[in-house]
Amino acid sequence: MAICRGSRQRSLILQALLSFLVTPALVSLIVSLWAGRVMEARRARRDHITKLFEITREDIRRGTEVGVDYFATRPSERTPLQEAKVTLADREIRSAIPIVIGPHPELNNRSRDEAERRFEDLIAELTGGNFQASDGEVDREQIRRLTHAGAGLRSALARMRDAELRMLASDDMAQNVWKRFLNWLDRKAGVDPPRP
Amino acid sequence: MADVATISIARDFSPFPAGRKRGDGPFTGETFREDVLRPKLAGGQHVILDIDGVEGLPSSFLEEVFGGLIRLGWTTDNLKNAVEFRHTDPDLEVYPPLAWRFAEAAASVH
Repeated sequence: MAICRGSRQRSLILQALLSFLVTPALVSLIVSLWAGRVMEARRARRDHITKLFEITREDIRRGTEVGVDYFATRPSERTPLQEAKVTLADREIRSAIPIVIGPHPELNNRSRDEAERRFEDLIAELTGGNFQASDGEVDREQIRRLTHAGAGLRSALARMRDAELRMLASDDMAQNVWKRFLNWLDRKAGVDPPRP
Repeated sequence: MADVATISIARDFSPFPAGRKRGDGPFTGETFREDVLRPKLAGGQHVILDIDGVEGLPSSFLEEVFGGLIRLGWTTDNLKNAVEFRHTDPDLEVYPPLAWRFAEAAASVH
């Protein structure tokens, strides 16, 4: 009878010990894995957006160049190739911009509004003025407006990207606090924190 | 309530509108304005301008249509009441605000 009671006590102590150590360790492990995955996804998304911005800014530069080349040629001497390059650039920029500034609610800031306005400016100038006209003269003012619109949009996108990176960095600070809390939980449970 | 007319630029005019004046080609802004849009507006119809299906609307084309209507005596407000854009393609999102911008710019110098 006494042996039996002693064994039950040992079992209860072991259970208490296990629940004290193992449960927090398990919770900590699961949360660590989840947090790791979230951080990895955020990093991948950040890299993707950065790449998208860079490609779009390059498209804008190229579009402005082909536009300037087109408008710097007298309408009667323009070639179908010049026109096709401008049309293609216009299409590329129109497709890229909504992806870059459209579906990212976190990018709602002043830079985004400016980018939208500059985008309209560029589209207005890239195929505006005497585009596809059969006669007339070179319009230097049109070239100036186009150059200004292209440069303005590139700058606006750079500023917007910078604003987003700053915002993500502040989010990372919150994540670092969370990570420290998890490590503390690990130590409490007697488990080595996961190596970075 | 005015009659409503829907004009699909791609179907009723061309999927590749290009140029400003008639002499610039077969599907120019002036041709669209005079042969397609203006007759409907003159008949007092409310026009839904469906822009889906076009490859693009060059600004020279768009300015000739909307800036041109202002130069012909329309006011921006009347035009905005009479014409409504419709599209589902996100790549065409920029055109409605651009059209009104051209109308307002033309009104400011007219």
